[in-house]
Amino acid sequence: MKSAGAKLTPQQQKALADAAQWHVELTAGSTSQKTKDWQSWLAKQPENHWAWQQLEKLQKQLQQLPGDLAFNSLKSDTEAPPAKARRNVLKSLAGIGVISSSGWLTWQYSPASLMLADHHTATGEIRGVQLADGSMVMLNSASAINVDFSPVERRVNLQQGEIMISTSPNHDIRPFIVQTRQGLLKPLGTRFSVQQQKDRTILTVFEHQVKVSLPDKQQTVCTAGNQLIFTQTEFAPLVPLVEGADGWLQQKLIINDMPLGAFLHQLSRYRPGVIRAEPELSIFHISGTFDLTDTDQALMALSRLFPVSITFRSRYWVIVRPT
Amino acid sequence: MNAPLSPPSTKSLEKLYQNNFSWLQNWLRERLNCSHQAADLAQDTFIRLLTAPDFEAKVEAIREPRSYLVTVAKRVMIDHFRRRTIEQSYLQALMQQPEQEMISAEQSSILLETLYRIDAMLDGLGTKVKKAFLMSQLKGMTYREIADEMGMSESSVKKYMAKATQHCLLFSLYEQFDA
Repeated sequence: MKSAGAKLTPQQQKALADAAQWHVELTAGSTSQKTKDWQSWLAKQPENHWAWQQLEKLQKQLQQLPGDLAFNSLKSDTEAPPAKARRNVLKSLAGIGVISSSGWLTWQYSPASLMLADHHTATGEIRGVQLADGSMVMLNSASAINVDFSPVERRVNLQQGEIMISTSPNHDIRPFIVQTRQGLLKPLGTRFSVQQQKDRTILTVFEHQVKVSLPDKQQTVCTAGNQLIFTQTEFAPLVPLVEGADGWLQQKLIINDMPLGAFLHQLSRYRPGVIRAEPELSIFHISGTFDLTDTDQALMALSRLFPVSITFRSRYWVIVRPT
Repeated sequence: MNAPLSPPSTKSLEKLYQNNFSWLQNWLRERLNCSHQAADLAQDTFIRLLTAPDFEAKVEAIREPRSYLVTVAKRVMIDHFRRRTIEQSYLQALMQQPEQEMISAEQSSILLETLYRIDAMLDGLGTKVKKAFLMSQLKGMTYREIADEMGMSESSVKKYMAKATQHCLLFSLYEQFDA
């Protein structure tokens, strides 16, 4: 902004500030007195007239946009998750397969801070990282972690996506901590996975147990063979883990009797772009093992198994609907 | 890139490019885990150097070329992912549009370019100011409605709007001067 300032005269700068002010006043509601005052401001000096022209140009550009579409595209970083949505989270905790209409793209959401994380994977990539203490972290598709080992603790910050941790068998006395946006996880054993979703964390424990603390000091323990879903304020009841929950480690998506919509949602985590699924699809249920390294093939399999059509609008935009 | 480069600066940029391009590409690849993207962004980083105002003087004055390149490359990455975030939000918003209002691929790409520009224009305004501005200009909400929605007074909304409007006017002029 500095170099523009340098090229504008003080009168022009003042006129621009006034024009902005006038625009706001007139938008707020105009009276005949206000309009008269504005007209005399406009006529007072050529700079004012010039500034008003600039304003009209800007207005014209903004008005040409499809308003709602543009608003929804640009609002992302102006929003904290609304309180109402947070309250509704527990209702949707009933099953992993539940999809909120806005949940579709959270998998691929990757602002720069994530890319600058210590370790991250691209969409479709699954990769292991060995930490300094010998612990092993597997990163699922589109995931990112920061690792912070200090003399007092070993902390892994899950920024996005899902990780599977096998803590080191050697006896490091520093506590191992995994942090998500909703809480802190302290493994009291060895093997567990953590998934960061928009408003909740999904913890699955395969061996031993993991203690979880929320910001308000609530605590609970999730034992081996179980899954715990929690938000910043609430724990859902423990549920037995779904068979195949760690299939992704072998690049496999293992599904047992899942509604098609939920299945496509799972698949979309491993695939750049968008899969749009019509809601009616969920009358169909699917079971099977799918190769995550070839999601096209999994999609094509659907059209053989079910009366559905698959349209590729582009490589990145797929529509699945009943025929 | 209409004006031909003057020989001495071309030479120093050439040297910078030759000595550091593969290094920078590797640096980016480690972060991005994708060699295509790394090559693209390394290229973008040099283009950004080349198109920066006073780039000749800047290139001449570089003492630590790699740390300088990293600084510029980080900005390039941030912009790249900002754009991608907008693109994703855009696709998501598009999916919620009624089918008959579908937009052609060409219209989409023009619209996206405009959205990137507006995003850049609003960058630097606080999130509340930005939100108020978008609600007023794109959703056509009244100041009263915005005030209620955001839980603040109407006079605060008016202050935000005046600030944002002035900022956008300056930004647009700055763009024209730059071009």
